[in-house]
Amino acid sequence: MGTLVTLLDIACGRPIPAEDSGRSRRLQLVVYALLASLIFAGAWGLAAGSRSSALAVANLYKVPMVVLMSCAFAAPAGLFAWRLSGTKLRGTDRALCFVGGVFGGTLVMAVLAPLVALYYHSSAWAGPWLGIASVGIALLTGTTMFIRGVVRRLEPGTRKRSVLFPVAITLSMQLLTLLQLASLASPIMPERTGFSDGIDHIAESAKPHSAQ
Amino acid sequence: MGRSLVRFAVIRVVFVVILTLVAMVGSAHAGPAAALPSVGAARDVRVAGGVFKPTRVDGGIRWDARWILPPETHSEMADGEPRIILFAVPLPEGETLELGPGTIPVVKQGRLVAIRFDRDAIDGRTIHAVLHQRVAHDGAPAVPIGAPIAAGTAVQIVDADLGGSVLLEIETAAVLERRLGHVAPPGVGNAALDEARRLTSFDARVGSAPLYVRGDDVKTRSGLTGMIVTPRARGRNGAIAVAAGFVALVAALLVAMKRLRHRASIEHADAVLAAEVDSLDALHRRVR
Repeated sequence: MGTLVTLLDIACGRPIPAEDSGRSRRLQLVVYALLASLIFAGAWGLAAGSRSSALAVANLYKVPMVVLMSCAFAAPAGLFAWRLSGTKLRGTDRALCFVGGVFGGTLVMAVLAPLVALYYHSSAWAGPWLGIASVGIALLTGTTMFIRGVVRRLEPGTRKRSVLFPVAITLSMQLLTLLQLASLASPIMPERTGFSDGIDHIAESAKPHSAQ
Repeated sequence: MGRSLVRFAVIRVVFVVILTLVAMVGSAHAGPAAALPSVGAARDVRVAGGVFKPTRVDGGIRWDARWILPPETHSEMADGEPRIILFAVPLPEGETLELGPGTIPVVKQGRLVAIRFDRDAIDGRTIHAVLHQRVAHDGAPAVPIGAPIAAGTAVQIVDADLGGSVLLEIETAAVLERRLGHVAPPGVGNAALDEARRLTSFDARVGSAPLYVRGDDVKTRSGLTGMIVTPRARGRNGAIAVAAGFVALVAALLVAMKRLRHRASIEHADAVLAAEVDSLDALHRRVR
């Protein structure tokens, strides 16, 4: 329970208690945050697919897979961008801020999961929209938590603007990988959505259609 | 005298029999062609372009074909004579033409080899036809491409989008090369592709790789083959790799959690001890 509270504190950008500031403890918190995120994502997946038992069971590994693999794919580019930007921030702090955002985002998904499940079972129209909206809210929350955590943990004298580049690269990479991973793992929701076919569908929708 | 007459008569009879046999053999080869509706009379037209849009239907593929004729064709057909569009290769067995106004299929040895059309069938410069290709679901990886590509050197377009995100992946060997967003013969430049698109008002779907091809290329390869690829089949390999990566990552996280537990508890205990020593120090100083 204490670890969960510490993780919530980290996600909210509060300072890490002195007894949790050791390197191993920080790494342990990173691992715990990621594993907790998988559980939260699984809960949302279960809710989003609850109209069909096969989809619900499949979502128990699909949604956590999309979340975890997007983190894994975004991390190398993010680390490289941090290195290039020369921003002064401890490595474990960077990792904690990033997984803090992931933890916060998936926590939002988990707390919205009962609502998503309820609407999926009671409304043919609102269920899918609420499912998509909950993911949007989670992404927004995760991004805010990540940026806030990074800004608060910057070493004194470091300009806040210097974190923009690495944060933007990390988030862009994660969004781009999320998009294609969601398409690979599709179907996650019972309906075919604009994200089911990945970037191809989005590019096709954005293309100006000439008259045949 | 009588004997020589008989010999002469026998030779004539044998000669006639041989001639008849030769004629029969010849007509047997030309049989189906003779059955063609006035193919001999109709002149063939070399198209300026063409576009072939496949759609997946029950039991096969529906080909929506449009050939663009040279501008002068319509006026040249004032003589009332029909014309034919010869295909680069005979279409796959079982492929049929949906009868339309002014168009007649030309069949040779059971396979469509051309389309005959009247002047009435021309819409502007376009001849339109619908063909049905049977595709056996026998698990064969490759299917013959039944697009009625006209013979000649005009660049024609075979759309690769079968609808419902199902794609036709054309096999590229020897005379075709895969480029960024399309497949085309190596010698064909972008200007020719632009012209083919302009003529046919073709607009490819993002993600599909249409084929730009000339009839002569198809003839060289004796037909084209491709694979019908569903989104599920396309993503299968990627999904398996991602799933394997996920399992490995979760395993790594669990191992890391186990290994870090001991070291983290020591760090935590040290930190708590240091904090308590500090607070006792501060208390001691206050008491003194």
